[in-house]
Amino acid sequence: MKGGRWRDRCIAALGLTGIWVLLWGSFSALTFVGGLIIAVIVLVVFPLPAVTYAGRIHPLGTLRFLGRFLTDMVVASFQVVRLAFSFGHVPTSAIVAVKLRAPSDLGLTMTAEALSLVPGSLIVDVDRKKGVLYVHVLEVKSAEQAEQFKEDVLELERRIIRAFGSPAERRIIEEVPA
Amino acid sequence: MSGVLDVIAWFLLVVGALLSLSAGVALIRFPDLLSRMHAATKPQVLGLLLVLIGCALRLRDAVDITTLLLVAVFSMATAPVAAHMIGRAAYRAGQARADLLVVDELADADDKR
Amino acid sequence: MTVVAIVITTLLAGGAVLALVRIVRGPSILDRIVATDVLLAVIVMSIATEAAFSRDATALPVLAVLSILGFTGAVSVARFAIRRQAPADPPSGRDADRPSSDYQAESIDLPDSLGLPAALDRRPPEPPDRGDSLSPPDRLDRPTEEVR
Repeated sequence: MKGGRWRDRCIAALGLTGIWVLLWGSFSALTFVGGLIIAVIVLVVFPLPAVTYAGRIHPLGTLRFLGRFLTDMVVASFQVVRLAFSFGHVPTSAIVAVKLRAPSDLGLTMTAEALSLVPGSLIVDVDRKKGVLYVHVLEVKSAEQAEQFKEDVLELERRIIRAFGSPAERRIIEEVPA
Repeated sequence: MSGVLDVIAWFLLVVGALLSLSAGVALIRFPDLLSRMHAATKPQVLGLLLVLIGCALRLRDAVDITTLLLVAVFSMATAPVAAHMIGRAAYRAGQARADLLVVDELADADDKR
Repeated sequence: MTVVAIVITTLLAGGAVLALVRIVRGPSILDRIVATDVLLAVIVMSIATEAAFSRDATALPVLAVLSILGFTGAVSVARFAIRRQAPADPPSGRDADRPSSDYQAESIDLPDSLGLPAALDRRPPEPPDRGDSLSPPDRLDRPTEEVR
């Protein structure tokens, strides 16, 4: 447990150092050491609650998730554009509750972030204890379409778990049919 | 080669600008705050990404591209946070027009408690 | 190339003007924040376009700063917008410097009531603890609903 925490801190420090080096735009001993020192100071002064992450990054699942995410984003963006320019049409929408199957903190956050970045869906509220996301969906005309959207969210969760999930989460995802 | 890259860059910049215009149009035209937020926060993200890619294709310098990459990552990480905060505040304030909602399961969940 | 630049400028200016119209007209403060976000994104895009046009990277750090700090305005105004609608809150001066409870699990729980009139009616009358309400245990027992 303690070792895991130190591993997390090292990863955080390296990530902050990476951002620092990117900000300077050149990799040299000075920027690297300076970034490391600042990262350690930041981590000591602003400690964060530990994020429990038991999973492992699966390269194939990650690629699949990223590809689907990008196409989703482009397609949905242009749908919203079309909606914006179809004058005279007032879009109706819906707020649906989606119960995620494997509501770990990280999975919940990743799903919410991915949903937020894809146009047409917007997180209105989150019930963290129950693992329920309340999503506002644009351009929903009937209750069937709302149900269809729930399926889409669960599919997105499945892709995220396949990309980043822990073995236990993957088991839940594979057991319960979508 | 560089001519082709320039053409792609200009194309991306034009599409990005078009997305920002459509966000403006949607901002004016959509009926309630939550619908407006869809248009306001999302085509923006894609438009910003396209403009940044176009900019990177024009500058073609490692230092500048890393900066642009940081800009893209930061805006993609922070945009959902702002959207979530505003969306939540909007629903609380009763800004979601009930006559435009086909389904509202948040209100149902609230009643059951 | 100049023609393309003019087209891009026109499109961006159109987006900015429409966002400004929404800022002026927006019925609620939240509408105005959303429109301000759009305006900020248009500004970022314009700076990036200018950098691409003149092949001059001087302004890129400005973009980095804007993209990091751009959302703080929206977040803080959203917080205050919620707080203003909950009149049973303690004075906001003390409440504002209590950020640590954002990390508690309960802080993203659903509230008891949604919507403005309901929030006014159904909020349970608080016990008259104004006098000693600033003592630490008392403050921790209170629902963390207002802090978000």
